Amino acid sequence: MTPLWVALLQEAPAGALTARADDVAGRRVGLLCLWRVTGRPHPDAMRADPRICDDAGPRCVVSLASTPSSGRPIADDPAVVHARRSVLRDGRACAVTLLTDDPVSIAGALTIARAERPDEVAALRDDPFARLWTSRLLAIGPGVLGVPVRPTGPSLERYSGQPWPYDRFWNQEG
Amino acid sequence: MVAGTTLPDLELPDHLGHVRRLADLVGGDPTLLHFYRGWWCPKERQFFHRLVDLQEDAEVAYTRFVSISVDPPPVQAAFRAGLDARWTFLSDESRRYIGELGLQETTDTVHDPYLPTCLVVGPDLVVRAAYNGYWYWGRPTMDELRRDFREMTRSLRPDWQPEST
Repeated sequence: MTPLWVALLQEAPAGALTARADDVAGRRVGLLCLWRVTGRPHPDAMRADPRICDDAGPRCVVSLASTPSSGRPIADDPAVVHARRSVLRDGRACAVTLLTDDPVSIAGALTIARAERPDEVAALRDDPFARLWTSRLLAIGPGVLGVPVRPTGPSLERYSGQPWPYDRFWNQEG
Repeated sequence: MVAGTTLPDLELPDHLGHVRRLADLVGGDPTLLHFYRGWWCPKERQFFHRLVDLQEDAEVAYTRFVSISVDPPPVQAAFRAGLDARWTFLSDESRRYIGELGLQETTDTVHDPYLPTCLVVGPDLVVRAAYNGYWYWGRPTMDELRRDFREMTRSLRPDWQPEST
């Protein structure tokens, strides 16, 4: 599957799906930008589980947790593993994906709730990744996110270094 | 239910009420499909403790579990949380598949549950190993499951024996 890249930017870049991102007070924060391309399309772009992208998706609310660029944890850092276990045990959001800077480093996590689902939005307040890193809640316009991505468990390893919870090795993709 | 049977692609609500398909839950990995009577059965609780112990190996071994019962999703969610299980539970509260699978426990006319059964299945939904757990000792030991998972992983992964340099 073609990699998916995600970035929060101020200007709309060429070739990206974009949707306005507002903070909880309704102030514009920027544009959530998604690309389906092989190589990194922008210096701020991070890889995500490609299944979260939906160009017909609804309005969403997301918890965007970001690690400091000066000190990215490795994917198998015990704190990251424990947060993934928490998602498997308790996760009630529509979708979740780790954001990766490279095959070994974690740049953050994006947890997605559909705006019309109060139960999913409420679950964002207990985002396990928000306990680890700086996070913010953002309202995202329609047309970029929203396909339910729910891992099976208990397996939580990354497949061929791809952002969790994507769950196929490269040689298993249809 | 015996080895070699191809399962239907079950479509059932999970413990949170989201409809899931078995093929999506199995993905490309060895999977334990575990039918259990219900939260109230002490034999099930005992067996779940064994599976919960095994889940930390499964989580690093690209191996999945799915548990199915006739309990409604909210009951499953509470039971699952109490067990600290981190895999998907499916609810067949309406007994949609219990007859088709031939897994109705006819001796319990109160709960009308699934016959306790463990199936080791692969991405093609073909049963590789089957254990009838009506009597507790019919259930697989964790060592037996490990051997089943090893054999299936060996057959699924083309790089089981990687080339050495």
